Amino acid sequence: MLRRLIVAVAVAVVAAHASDARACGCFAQPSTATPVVQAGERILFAHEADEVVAYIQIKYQGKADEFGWLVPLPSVPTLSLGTDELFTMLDSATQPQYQQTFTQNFCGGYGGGGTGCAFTLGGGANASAGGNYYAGDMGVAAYTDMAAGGVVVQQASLGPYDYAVLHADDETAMLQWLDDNHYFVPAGTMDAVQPYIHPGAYFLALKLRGGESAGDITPVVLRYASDLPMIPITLTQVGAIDNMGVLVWVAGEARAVPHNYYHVVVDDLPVWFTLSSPSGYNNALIDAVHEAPGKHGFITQYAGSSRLVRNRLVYPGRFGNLDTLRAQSTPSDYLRYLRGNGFTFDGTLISILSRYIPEPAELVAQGVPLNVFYQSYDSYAGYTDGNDDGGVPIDMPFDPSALTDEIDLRVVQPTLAADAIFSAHPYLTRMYTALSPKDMTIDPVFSTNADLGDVPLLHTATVTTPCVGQPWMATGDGFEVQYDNGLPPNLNLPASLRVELVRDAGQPETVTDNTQAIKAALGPVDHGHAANNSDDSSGCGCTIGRRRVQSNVAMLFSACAMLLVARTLRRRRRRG
Amino acid sequence: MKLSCAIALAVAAAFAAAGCAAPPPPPPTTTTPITSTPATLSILGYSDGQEVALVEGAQGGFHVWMQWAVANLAPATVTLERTAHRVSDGAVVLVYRGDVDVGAPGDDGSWSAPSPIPMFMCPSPIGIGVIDVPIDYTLRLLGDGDVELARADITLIPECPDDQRDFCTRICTG
Repeated sequence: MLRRLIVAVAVAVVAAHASDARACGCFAQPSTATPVVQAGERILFAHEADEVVAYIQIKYQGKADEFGWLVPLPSVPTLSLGTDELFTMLDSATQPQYQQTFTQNFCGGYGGGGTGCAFTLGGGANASAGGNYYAGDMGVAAYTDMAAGGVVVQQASLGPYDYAVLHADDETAMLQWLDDNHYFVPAGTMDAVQPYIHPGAYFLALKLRGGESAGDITPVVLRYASDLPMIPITLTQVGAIDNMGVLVWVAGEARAVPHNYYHVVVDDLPVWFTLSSPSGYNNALIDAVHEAPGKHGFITQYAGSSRLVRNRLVYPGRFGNLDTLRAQSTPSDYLRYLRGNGFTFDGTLISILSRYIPEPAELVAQGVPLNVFYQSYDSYAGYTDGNDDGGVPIDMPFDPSALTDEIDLRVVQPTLAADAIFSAHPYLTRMYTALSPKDMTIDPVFSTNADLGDVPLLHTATVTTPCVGQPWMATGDGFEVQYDNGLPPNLNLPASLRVELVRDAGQPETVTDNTQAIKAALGPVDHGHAANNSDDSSGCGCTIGRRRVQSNVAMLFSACAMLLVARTLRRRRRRG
Repeated sequence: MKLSCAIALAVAAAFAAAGCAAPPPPPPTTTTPITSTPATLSILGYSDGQEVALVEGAQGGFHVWMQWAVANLAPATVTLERTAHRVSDGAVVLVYRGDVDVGAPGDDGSWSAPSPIPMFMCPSPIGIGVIDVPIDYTLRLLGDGDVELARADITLIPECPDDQRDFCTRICTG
């Protein structure tokens, strides 16, 4: 009952924003929940020529000098810098959307002699994201201090990193190098490393350069000769946490599939029932993955055209003209140019800015965050009047040329390169899994299957409240469930709809199909009774022309909302 | 004669590729029928039914490495499709496509790939063991519209390398 009351009140809120109406009933825009998953690893794979291109977002919290990263590779990689914005965009643009529509049948008639007033109202709630942080994402946490040796193939610096490519064909030499260079090797690491010690194999070791902070850790782009992209999850187990989320995007010519993991199709009902819980969606996915044998399963959250993400990172005018940026003579003008030309003040940019336009100690002491300082620089520039009091001199000297070079290297070029991935590859697949260290026993490999269809982002359900009887929900995948006292029932449902084997060609092979078990658990659904004159096929009370609805929309929806509230209260009083 | 025919075909192909209407065919100057030799794809270094040791991939996998060559194919960028099926039940082990730049033929009339290509075997798909069983390997060169230009098949029996037998067995038996 409380939920219904909330729904009714919500109608009024939504009504104020309604911009469309149809001939039948009172409609408000259904709102859409885009529940998020918690991912400890985010990776974008693409294949270009004979190379796998892997964009890897490294998540790390800790001391900068304790950051280390070790990745096994089949060939000597080419390294470049990525951008966090890529993952922010990908995560946002490819999040599944759960669109819930509430239909409320009126029984007393409203307007125009109709019999009902159907509402569509968005339900659900956004879940909040929580990050899982751990040291040594996709690798082993280590203390690094590089030194050349026979095992070292290549050493160089890139942006905030020093890195070395190591031969992995001699276990003794490899271990010696790790020891000589003060790599911290947690217990169990040696067993985890063992499968990757092969003649002709390599390890990439990465650390932050001196003077860099943990905030400088930016995504890394690896290019290496290989056919099928793979995540060395076995090695990750050393630094992983329970149910660590792994989000994988694959840009290619066709839908990507887990080559050696099960494919799990989520049962959406538990998702619908827990949308309002911050961790509900994430837990539903974890439960679904756990129903795959060995807990080795990937869920496809999106599969379709890469148009969805094309030109989102780079659009006409973005980044302006770097020569013009270099010519800005004051920090104020420089920052204004950044703000006015689409630069995102994310961790990477802020970290760069902090070295060229440092926040004065006085403001640091006051706890002014760096992002606030740069976004509101002009306000702070007028805050003090000199150099000697720690304030912000308006004409603070800085080197716009060097600053622009670094921004070009670490922000502009990586963003352009990332955007180009989606122009070059017509198809994008997003997959998710959650793995605990004890289950990280097989490295997932991804291939493609051109015979499979798309997986849309949008999931739909309609909750209908009849004039007499309990509401029921009809989901887009064909299930109906009766509500219990106006609330979703508390049922013990499978978390997965199906567990499948998806090959490189052909249709999925079903391992487990829970459709009948779900239907049995849901039981029959009573659709209740319509209004007393529901046989009127016109059936809708608010048959108001579009023009009128648009001009009177707020009043109309408010009126409908009040009716709902009144009816709800009446029922409560009767029951009370 | 052959050269002039080839030039005529190339001109026609260029027009077709450019989306232009082909010019009217020139009057025949000879009665010799135009024939073209189909491209021939060869898998080198193996014989049909041979047992082959899987080779470790650096990221913890095992592959069959395959050298190939093609004859009678003009230099072009074409698609190389590699597939592998288990003979006993036709189960799909691998389907992979990638572009390859076929270069000019050598003195023997064929062009050889600069290095062997991996046929990704392991980790094998769930439920599909690939060790000590015959596997059909197929290479196909595909042109525009996936038109098959050449094809080669071979059946091999992958085996785990002795020094990695336990690990190999674990990830190659589905």
